[in-house]
Amino acid sequence: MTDWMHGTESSETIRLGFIPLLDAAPLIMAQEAGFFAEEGLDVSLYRQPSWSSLRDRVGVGMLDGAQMLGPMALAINMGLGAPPCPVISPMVLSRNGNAITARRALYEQLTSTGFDLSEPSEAACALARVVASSDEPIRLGIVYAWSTHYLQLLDWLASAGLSPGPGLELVTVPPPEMMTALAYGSVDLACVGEPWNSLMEYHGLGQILATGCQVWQNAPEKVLGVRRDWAQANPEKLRALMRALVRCCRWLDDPDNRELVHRILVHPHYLGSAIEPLGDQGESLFHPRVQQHFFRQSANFPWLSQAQWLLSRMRLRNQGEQLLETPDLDSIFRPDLYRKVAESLSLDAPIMDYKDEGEHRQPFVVEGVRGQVEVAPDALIATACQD
Amino acid sequence: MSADQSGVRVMLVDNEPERAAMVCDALTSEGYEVVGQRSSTRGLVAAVAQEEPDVVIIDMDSPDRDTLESMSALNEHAPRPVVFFASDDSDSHTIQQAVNAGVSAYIVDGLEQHRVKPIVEVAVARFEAFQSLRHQLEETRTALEERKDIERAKGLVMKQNNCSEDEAFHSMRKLAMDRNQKLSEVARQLIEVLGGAEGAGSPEAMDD
Repeated sequence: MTDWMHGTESSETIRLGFIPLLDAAPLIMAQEAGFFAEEGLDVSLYRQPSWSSLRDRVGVGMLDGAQMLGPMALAINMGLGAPPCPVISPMVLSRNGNAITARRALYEQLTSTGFDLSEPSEAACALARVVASSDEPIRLGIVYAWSTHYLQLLDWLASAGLSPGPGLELVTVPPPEMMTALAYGSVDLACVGEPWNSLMEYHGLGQILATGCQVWQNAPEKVLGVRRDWAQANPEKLRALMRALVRCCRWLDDPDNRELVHRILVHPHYLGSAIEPLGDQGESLFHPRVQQHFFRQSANFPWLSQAQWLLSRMRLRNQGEQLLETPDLDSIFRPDLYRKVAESLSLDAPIMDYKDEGEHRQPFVVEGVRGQVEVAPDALIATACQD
Repeated sequence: MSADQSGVRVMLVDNEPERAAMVCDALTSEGYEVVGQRSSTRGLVAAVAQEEPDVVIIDMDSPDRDTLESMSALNEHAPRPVVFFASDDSDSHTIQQAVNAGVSAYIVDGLEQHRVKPIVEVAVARFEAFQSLRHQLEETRTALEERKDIERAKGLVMKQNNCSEDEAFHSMRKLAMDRNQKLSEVARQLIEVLGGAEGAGSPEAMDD
């Protein structure tokens, strides 16, 4: 799985790509805990060295689908950064999972500003204060510009009137190198997905300053993306694949299974020994502040309003500026397909495709196909101060 | 190679030095100028400013690709991905081949697409050649390992059955034919069964 293999696959095999992050767990555990097999599926998982390569391999059909970043599912259809490839996204695989971790020295400076760092927008104000009084630029490490975490970072900065510039430099660093960069001070703030924030805290290199869920509550972090031509040629297989993944996501939300999840993910084919410190018992595998989850409160439902939201944020940040037309979002996010799969599993799903994003600070209830369905809150960061 | 290709400057980012040397030689002999070989994208923007390449070729298995693509989104002086528009069949074929071979290409300051394509093709050919070389090497190594396993299993069978080398070999070959397995597989199984603790060889599971 580490390398690209042309192994013993048949035409029946579904080839899926993943990136070694905690939120690859739905694909990995569906394979290892037998959810794919129970649906009669033969799946090969391929670990990818970068999001760019994952995208390109889906693009040319070496992979039928993959764990994708929410914005990537849109970008790949729009041909941003690569030739366009029609991909559909019939379900969300995970919600939350990113954080912004501050180097210890910077964290102390931020604390001394007197702002309440537990409030994300106040933490951003504290950063603005430090940036204003610092002779040296503060360096912000990011992993990938076409990602949820980068868009969340920019919204977090904007909540205090900040944006990257001369005093606040953006540096791009691959995830496994982020810890070293933070340790040696080549970045002061690291914006990255889990497990890297937990590991930076564990190794005493930094402290989580704000989490993705404090910026966009319960955003669609990773989605299932499959080539549209594959989906059209294999409708039954797609349904079975989604059933396996939904069942696996429900299983992942159960804390009793964490120990097994840790034991599998630590394998070198998957995330590797880097995550060993996160506990044999699995009790610290998912950082409580990050609120990463996979199933509860309709997590898997691909809201079209969230596709719109992602697109609006990408546009705001000049991603897709060369684009003339709005992509046909309802041919990309496919709540209709999700609803059918949910029904075959006797699960309920919202009857509507849109909700008012940013309007709900508490869990709320919408009308479902069978009855009422609980949906997670979706508040967005508020602006706290404008210097 | 058409004459207008001379003067096109190429930068290589590949952490496989032998492969990079092969690509470098091939490009140089086609009249391109290779301006610097690097094993990662660290400091790439500065290097691009200094060396002024027209094209950057990067190994697809490098985790640095995301770094490079982010740079292109954030820094107008960073190399940009080559996007061959799939309107042309030969272009989409080039993309397919490049991804299969593990080559990705980025352009700096808008070199025309038709001038990038032959460079990508040269790199793809070298990447493929390197891959098949490595494959051959692996095959040779496997063949050697297999021969060693067969010798060892033969010794164990001789000891177990108190028989001659020839007899041991024949019984192994018969076993292989009966089971429709390769002789080397039978040898490995025998080592596991007969070799005991000292025979802790390959941990691979036998799938039967």
